[in-house]
Amino acid sequence: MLFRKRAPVAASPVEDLAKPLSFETLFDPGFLAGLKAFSLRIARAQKGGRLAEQRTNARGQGAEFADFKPYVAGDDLRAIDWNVYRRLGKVFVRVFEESQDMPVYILVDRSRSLYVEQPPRIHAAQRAALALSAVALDQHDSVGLFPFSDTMEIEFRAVSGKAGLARVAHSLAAYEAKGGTGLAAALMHLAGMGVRQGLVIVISDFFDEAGIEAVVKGLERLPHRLLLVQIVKAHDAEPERHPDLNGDVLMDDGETPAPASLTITPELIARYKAAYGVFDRALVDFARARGAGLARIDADAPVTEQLATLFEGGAVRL
Amino acid sequence: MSFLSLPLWAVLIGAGALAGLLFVLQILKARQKRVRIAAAGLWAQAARVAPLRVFRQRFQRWLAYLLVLAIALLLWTAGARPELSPRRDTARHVFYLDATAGLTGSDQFDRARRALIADVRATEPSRRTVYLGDATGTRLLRPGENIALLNRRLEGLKPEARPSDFSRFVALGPVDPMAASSEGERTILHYYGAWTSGAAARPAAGVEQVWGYLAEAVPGNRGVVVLGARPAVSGAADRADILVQAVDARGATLPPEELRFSRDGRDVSMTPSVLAGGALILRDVAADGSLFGVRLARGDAFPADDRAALRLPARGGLKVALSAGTPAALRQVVGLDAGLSEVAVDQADVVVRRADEVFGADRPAFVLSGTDAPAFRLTYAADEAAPDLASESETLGLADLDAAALARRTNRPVGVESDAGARRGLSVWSALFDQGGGFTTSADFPVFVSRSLRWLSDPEPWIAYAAAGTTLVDQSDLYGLAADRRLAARALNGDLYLGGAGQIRIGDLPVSVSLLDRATTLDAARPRPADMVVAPVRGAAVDLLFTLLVLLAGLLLTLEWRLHQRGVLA
Repeated sequence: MLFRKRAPVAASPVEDLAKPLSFETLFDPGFLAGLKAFSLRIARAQKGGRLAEQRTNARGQGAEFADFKPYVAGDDLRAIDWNVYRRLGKVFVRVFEESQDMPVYILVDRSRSLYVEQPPRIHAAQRAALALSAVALDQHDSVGLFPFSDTMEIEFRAVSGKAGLARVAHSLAAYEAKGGTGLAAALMHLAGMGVRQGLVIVISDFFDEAGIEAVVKGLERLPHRLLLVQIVKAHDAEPERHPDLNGDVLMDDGETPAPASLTITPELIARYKAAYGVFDRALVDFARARGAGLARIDADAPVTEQLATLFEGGAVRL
Repeated sequence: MSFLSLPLWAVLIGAGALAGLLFVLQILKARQKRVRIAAAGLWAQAARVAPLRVFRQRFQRWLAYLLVLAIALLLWTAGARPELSPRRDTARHVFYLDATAGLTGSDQFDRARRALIADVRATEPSRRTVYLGDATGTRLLRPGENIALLNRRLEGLKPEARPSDFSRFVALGPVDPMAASSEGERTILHYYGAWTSGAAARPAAGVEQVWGYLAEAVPGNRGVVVLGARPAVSGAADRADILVQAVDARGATLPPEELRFSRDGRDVSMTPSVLAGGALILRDVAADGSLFGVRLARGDAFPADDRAALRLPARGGLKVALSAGTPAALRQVVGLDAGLSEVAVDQADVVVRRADEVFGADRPAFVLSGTDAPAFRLTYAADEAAPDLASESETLGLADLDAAALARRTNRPVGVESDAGARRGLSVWSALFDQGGGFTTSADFPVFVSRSLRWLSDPEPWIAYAAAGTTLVDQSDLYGLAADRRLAARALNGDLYLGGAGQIRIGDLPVSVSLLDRATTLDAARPRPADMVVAPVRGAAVDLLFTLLVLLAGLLLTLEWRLHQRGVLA
């Protein structure tokens, strides 16, 4: 037969996708040792947690003086301020601000788009998730892991203690590629769970098929402090730096059923840059308006150095 | 401009077809590469805003198309082998590449060939003819043929180590001005070869001779000029005497210590005798069919004459069976001749018997007949050429026989007759062998017996020498080569022409041919006269246009690759 109908081009099969970092590679003592100096701080955690290091509205035991209150039966006699009593003749006790733990909810994107490139973005995402978990656990906060692709899963709501880090690492090392990027849906899911307020860390490329507007809308609904970790590559913003982005291409993010057939022209590049600009601006504007942190991790560069930039001064305060 | 491969109209149509084909391919054929990228969704979104993959817009890559078209057209044109037309010329140009011994020196032939191609290229195609100076004067390029054909026909050609035929070529007339197509047309003869051969030729009046390339002289040239073999004068039938002579640039014979000898490629130590003329002779060399070689102890820049070789004839002992009636004198000769041995009839090569005896009927026979038969009757095998009785009588040693005395004594006419038979035979009066006849006591008798028996055994021809560029002629008074049926069947007008030096076969007979030309050896050493000036080369030796086109195509291909690598070109 002279002419044969061309078979439709399918998205990358699973075997073409990159593998996640193994536990041994991920749980690298050298990598973890470099995170000792870092800490995560939020303005005020919701009370109701365990005693820890985060400031809360709770009054009770602690080191930070908060206020005086009239003595009532049952108060700790050691808290009576005898100087006040001498001046005023009334018995007041000192109350202290109680430091409690901060719940840290980490949403890790494991959609196929993070696995299609070389090196894959999932490696940077795994390292960033482990690093932030390590920092949180080191300061006695709890860590919840919520991987998402088309839908969000609850890996675990809260682990605490330094021993929990190995568990986090084991979970991350098992993240095989799965479905598309349903970040907006995942955020809606999390918002509906009514978990204790804390810090939500979203680690993703943010390329949701629903659009960045839907993602931003989902983020706005979260009553938590936010840290957005965007896994990027240099050619996201500057496509000219990608060696294969020329001529006729089949563009495949591993998620859409059929790759996009495109002819790269200067005009298309300009349009892409405009689209990426809108995408990028939406994230930046949201972060600025909400007071959220926005960290960009280049998947082609070592993660530790980039985290050091994020934790400039030793702590991230949100 | 003309094209070798195709006519102009076909080249133009092909170019148009190529342009059209590339245009269609450019539109239809998209070689898409898969790019895996996380931002594919954003790209698709950008493409949705302004869809680019539409039929007409696809053909936006004019640069790519033009580049590919230029490359394709350059290669197409180069493949058509274009040739720029040289300036018009009214003269007829005859080019002669003398591919003989004069150009066998180091790179002489290549230089001559390059000069020839350059000169031919600069000559109007319809006015040029190129001949190769081989044995037949092959025409390499007819008028009007493309120069590329000349290149192709010269590929793999090498000069032959033989004397030049240029004088003969000139004399035979291809350059005769009378052969020119129109009146008053000049003929220019361009010569590429050894200057001595060029100078020796005498073109007809009106032919202008131009030296296109003249081989450089080898001042100290020395060479082997004589190598021949003859039956040993000692009389040993299985031996040969070999004559050797090598001369220096002045013609003086080289002493034996300047030469090395070999048998079948292996060096052998031999001590030649020096003859009066200075030539060397090696006596009683075994005639065993081996290849006898002689070479100069020190070679020179003209290697064609530095060595020579000759295939010696194979001459073993002859087995003869004698019948009971064989005369005692004849039996005695067979017993005394070291080359003859008496054996039983079933092992014999030839037999001797009386006419009335039944003895070895299936073998060539020396028959003693009565006087009622002719005195000498030679019977030839049916497949042999017609005999030349005079020559054969000489061969058999009958020339020295006193026929008149014999006729007087027998009172019968003495004659030589011949007829055809199943195999060779010789019938001779038995009266000749009577003791009282006197023939058995003469010096000619053993010679006659020995030669006759050998003639009956039909031996291989004795090739005394084989010089390149000459015909194989009968140099032996023993075994006439011209009459040998194995050679005569392959001879043209009685001649067997020997081409260049080397190993050849004539039928099943291996022959070693060597240059062996004194004039060539001496001429190679002679410096060129000052008045023989080589004309400057007129054109380019390489196909400049073809090379340029291919180079340009290569450059454009490189440019396209670079542009593609940099993303400028799809």
